[in-house]
Amino acid sequence: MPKFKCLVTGACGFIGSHMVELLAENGHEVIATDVQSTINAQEPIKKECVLTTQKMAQKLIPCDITSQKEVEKLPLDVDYVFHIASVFSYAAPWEILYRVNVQGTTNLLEAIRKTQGVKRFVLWGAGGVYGEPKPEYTPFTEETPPDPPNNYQRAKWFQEFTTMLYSKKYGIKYTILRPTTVYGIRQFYGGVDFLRTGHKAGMLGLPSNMNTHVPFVHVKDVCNMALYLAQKPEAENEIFNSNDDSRMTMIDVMRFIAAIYGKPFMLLPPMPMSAIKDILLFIADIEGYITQKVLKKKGLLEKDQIGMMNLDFLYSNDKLKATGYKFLYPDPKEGLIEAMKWYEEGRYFDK
Amino acid sequence: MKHKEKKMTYIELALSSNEKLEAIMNTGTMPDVRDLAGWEFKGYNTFDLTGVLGFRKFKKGFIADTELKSATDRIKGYNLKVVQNGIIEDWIDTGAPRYAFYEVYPASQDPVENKYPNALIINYGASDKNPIYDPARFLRDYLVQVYPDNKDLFLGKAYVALGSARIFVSFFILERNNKNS
Repeated sequence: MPKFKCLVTGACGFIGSHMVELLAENGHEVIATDVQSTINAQEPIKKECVLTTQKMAQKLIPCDITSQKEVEKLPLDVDYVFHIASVFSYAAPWEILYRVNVQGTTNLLEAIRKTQGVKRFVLWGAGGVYGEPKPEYTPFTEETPPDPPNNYQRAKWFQEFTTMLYSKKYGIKYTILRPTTVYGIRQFYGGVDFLRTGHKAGMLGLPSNMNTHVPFVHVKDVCNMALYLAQKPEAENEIFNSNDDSRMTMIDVMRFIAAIYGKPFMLLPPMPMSAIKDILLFIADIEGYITQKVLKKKGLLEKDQIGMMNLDFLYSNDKLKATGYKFLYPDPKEGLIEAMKWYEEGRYFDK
Repeated sequence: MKHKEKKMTYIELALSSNEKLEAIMNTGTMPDVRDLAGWEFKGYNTFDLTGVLGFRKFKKGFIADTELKSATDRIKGYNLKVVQNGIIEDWIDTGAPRYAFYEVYPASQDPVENKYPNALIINYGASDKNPIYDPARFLRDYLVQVYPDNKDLFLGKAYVALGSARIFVSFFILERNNKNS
């Protein structure tokens, strides 16, 4: 197998640390980069990500991608760039999302354009760019027109758009992944909340009409397919949904989580979900005002996440599978059990 | 080429819908009692309420008083209480004595409890070890082997017998765990 020199941005985050690990395990040379504040992270799970990257990468270079000057100092004489660096938060203000996700990507593309040696720029987009499910676009395919429903997804879509623009103008070859709910060990935000709920709750329950689908993809699959597609000529300048084969409903997921944590699970009578959503949004408004304006802290409830509640997200992975990609985790149960064991052994939810 | 369906694991069975489990009850094979006797099996009730009531996980043991000569001989058994921890963790005995005793024989031999002729019947009413006032006496379980080539994995369906009525309670999964304690 040929050995490559790769640059991984956001290398000390959840997905970044897995990408570095995968590349290093396959014998590739890895230049890792992340912002200094992330490299200095002290929170136990985040620290695990940093330690993994420090251990596996040949070099770890601190770099704030929002600074063009800093980006230009990065060694870009590489075969592949895996651009993972991104603010992943539904609560982050637009200015930050734009500066990091869009301007940061532009800075990187600008630097790559000047070097001209990068074989493929692999960008982490987001499965959420399609917006709310619509009957005429079910399941979401890569042909579904993006309709980002919130600032985070909007910034991710701009990131893709910028990449395509640079490709058209300067011939940069790209592959874009649109991962859905990513999960796995060392995660501190997003899919890990299912496990955190299982650990903390005394009992789990859901209304019986909350049977919408939850899309999943294991972090190792996302990274594996990034490396796989980067080398595929047919994946050049293409977008791929990154989603496993499972079709678990919210009830399936919570029942499974309850089972692995040994917690009772109860199906509750059907509830008017749209009214509950409205009530939660109202509570989030009040909670947001108190925590952010009065206490000057980050709010607990994220309105954009509440907005996605009880929507039926189904994604097609036909395009990905047509390339011959084989999932490491076609079903999330095994991966969730592995992750649960990792969090329990490290007692990460108790720290 | 005939499509070969992937075999389900213990956890997958435990989290399956009643429709899927019912299909397996109908297509499963009758367990050989000689594969059961002398062993305790880890059990998991699929009905959510059993989790709330604290008996989602349990153990079932099977014993033979005499040497077994055929697959359809009559054997006996008991239940054991275990710690109600996660499905991926060990089945840990609580130390409580055996309870809810039963007799096991082919359902096809019973004039009443023969809803699944391909199954063994676990008849709690037939055991004289259960006190007369014990509600366990009303239980009737059917047991099938899920895959003919796997003698360790079984699917059960529990009913409560009220007069001539048989009220479905829960499916349960059994997997070989340890020799009789």
